[in-house]
Amino acid sequence: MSEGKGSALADGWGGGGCPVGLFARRSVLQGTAAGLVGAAGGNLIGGDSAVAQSAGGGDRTTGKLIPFHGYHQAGIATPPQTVGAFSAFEVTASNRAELIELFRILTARIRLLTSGRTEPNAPDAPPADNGILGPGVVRDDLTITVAVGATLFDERYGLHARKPVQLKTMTPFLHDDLDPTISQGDLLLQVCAGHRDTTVHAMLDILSHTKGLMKLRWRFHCQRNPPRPTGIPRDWFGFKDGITNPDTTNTAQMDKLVWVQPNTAEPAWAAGGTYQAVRIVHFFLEAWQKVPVAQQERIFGRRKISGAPLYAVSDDAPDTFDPIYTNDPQGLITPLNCHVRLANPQTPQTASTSSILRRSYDYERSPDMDGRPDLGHVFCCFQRELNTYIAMQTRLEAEALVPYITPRGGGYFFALPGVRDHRDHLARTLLT
Amino acid sequence: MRFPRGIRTPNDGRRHGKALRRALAVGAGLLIAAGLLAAWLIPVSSPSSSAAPLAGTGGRVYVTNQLDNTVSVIDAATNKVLTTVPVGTAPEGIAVTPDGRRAYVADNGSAAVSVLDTRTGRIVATVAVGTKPTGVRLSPDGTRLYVANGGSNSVSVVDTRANRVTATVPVGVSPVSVAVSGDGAAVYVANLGSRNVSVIDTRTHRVTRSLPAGRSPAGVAVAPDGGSVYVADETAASVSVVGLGSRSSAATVPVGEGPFAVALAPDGSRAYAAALGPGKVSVIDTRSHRVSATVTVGPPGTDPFNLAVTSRAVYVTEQGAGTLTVIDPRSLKVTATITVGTSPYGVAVSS
Repeated sequence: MSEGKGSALADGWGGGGCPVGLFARRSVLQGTAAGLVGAAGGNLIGGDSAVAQSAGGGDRTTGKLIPFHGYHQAGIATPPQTVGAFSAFEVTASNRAELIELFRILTARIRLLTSGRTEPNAPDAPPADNGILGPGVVRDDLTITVAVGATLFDERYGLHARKPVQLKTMTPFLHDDLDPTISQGDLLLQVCAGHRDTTVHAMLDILSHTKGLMKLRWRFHCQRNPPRPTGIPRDWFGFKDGITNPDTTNTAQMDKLVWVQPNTAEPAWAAGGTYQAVRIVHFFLEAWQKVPVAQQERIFGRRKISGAPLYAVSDDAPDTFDPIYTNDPQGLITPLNCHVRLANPQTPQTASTSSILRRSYDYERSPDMDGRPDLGHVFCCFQRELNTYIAMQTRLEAEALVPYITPRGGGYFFALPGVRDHRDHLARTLLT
Repeated sequence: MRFPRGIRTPNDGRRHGKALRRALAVGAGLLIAAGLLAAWLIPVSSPSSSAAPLAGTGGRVYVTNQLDNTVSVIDAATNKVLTTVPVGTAPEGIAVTPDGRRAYVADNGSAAVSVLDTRTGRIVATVAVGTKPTGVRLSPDGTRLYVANGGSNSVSVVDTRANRVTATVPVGVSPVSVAVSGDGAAVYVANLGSRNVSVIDTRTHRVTRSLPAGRSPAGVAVAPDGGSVYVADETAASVSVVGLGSRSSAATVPVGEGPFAVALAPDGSRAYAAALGPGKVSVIDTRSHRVSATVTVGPPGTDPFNLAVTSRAVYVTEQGAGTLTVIDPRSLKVTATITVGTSPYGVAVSS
């Protein structure tokens, strides 16, 4: 089965010497058959992901193809990839017909991009693909997840009656300092992959194909750090972040906590989607570095080195140990205003608003407008009810971490249900 | 990923034994009334269950479900859940009279103790105590209930015949659990915030001694011979053995991260400590003060929390998994895992 190989030979580039050698080596790395080079100009779309992945240690694109079709979109229950890009857009489509066209185009581009293949270039025409990812099928765990903001349901497209029940524009919490230029939007695209060239390539492709129908409002490139030394990655505070999370492989839990279900107060089209909350949180690292580690631990509610709960002694204690404070009403071991305890107070009254699916990233955009370091969190979470997140974040208005963070942007969105098959497209049931 | 804290699936493992069904023929009117009342009282978050009267009350295990505001009642012979009854808010510690007729539940969220008539499954009294009550224990003759008030830094003494508080004893900071000496003369209180155990003289209701007991005393149990107390030291990954007499020894026994409770076997030969983090129960030989065996009850996230020990079984509440583990003390094997409610906290056994 011939594997897509990009444009290298179709336009005779391979005749230049060195590049052929490079290409041949890449084919070997991707485990293609020896006859590939002779298949110039073949139908690349016919290739599929069944080609075996080689085990080459130097291959930067080692990863998988994550299926695009499904009842749910990918990129939510998917284990978080290393690199992310959150982009918010304003939709400039003139009417509902153009809006449908926008979603058709988005669907087609995402379907192609997440297949790891690229379109062949026609000879004597501008290249269909910019070639950033080279030839061949690129497997880099790419997911592109599309969510809609409350403003899409305004008077422009007549969708007001179909808005998800709890979706709204984010109203600031007590200590927020929201910058409108990095807040909200009609659409949010969450692009995640193993490497940044994959996410940039995807964003450039989508931008070029949706020109005139939507325009970029704000974007944050971000990443998740590798485990240091083990377990959950650390954020810029040096703390392991995102330890307590629902089991994304547990269907019952995901249906209970994350996925909007059919036959509820939500509109029928929303079943299979989920509310997505994004918060751009700036960290004040200079001030943080002045805080003794023992106090940092009491601010978060976990040990810094291990990520284990505050009852743990050893630096090697696993971060998978649960914090429990039902016997500690005065907060002597786990302070009452620490991060984990306000997120989940472990009381009956708060039990229903204590579970969300977090899938956050870290950003670095120094310097900010004042010339100072600008690093922080692209906090991202998914939950079946937006009110769950709002209740939790309201509790966190009192957290001891407040002096060291400033929420500056983000927004509330609704991640669309999945695309079932080749005949389906994003937002089809919303728009028909 | 492990079973995460705070994520619960509603329990639907309620069952009714055959003996129960036969007993329902008696007092059918009471049954219907109790069932309707219980169905009305049960919080929306739990699945519906009935508070059916139980024929006889012997051989039962009672478990408080802290996030469901209920108590699960389990038949000790079959390990089946007989019924689930509503109690106050955030039920934590529980004690049951030796004859099994009354269970006392510390309602951590409502500053009270719910008194449960185990035959009818109904609350027959609610006794206001201090704030954030956590642990409770009965005197050997059953006439007094001692309640650790985690928020008030005191112990309430409840007269169980009148269901009234007759004394409030100031103790250390954030008392979590209490233990009563075999002769009823002393009550030991683990103070999470004072690094000590308060000793209360039950005749005068005054603290007569404060015993240093590690960093964060969370659980306390008295050896049957009265010579020492065992203290679960929550932030020191160990159990402290504190001698009570001039010749008794002290020791520190490493047991794993997050020991929240410790209990003695009735014959005093062993102590069992639950290490919440790693999900294991350590068996301590009380002569050598060494761990002689460990029993794994589940992966991290299971969260073994409290223990009740009889000669035939060791019961362990699993706060994360929402289950009650039954361990056979002879083989030290898990013989049953019973699904109860959400965030089970306390466990008590009636013979």
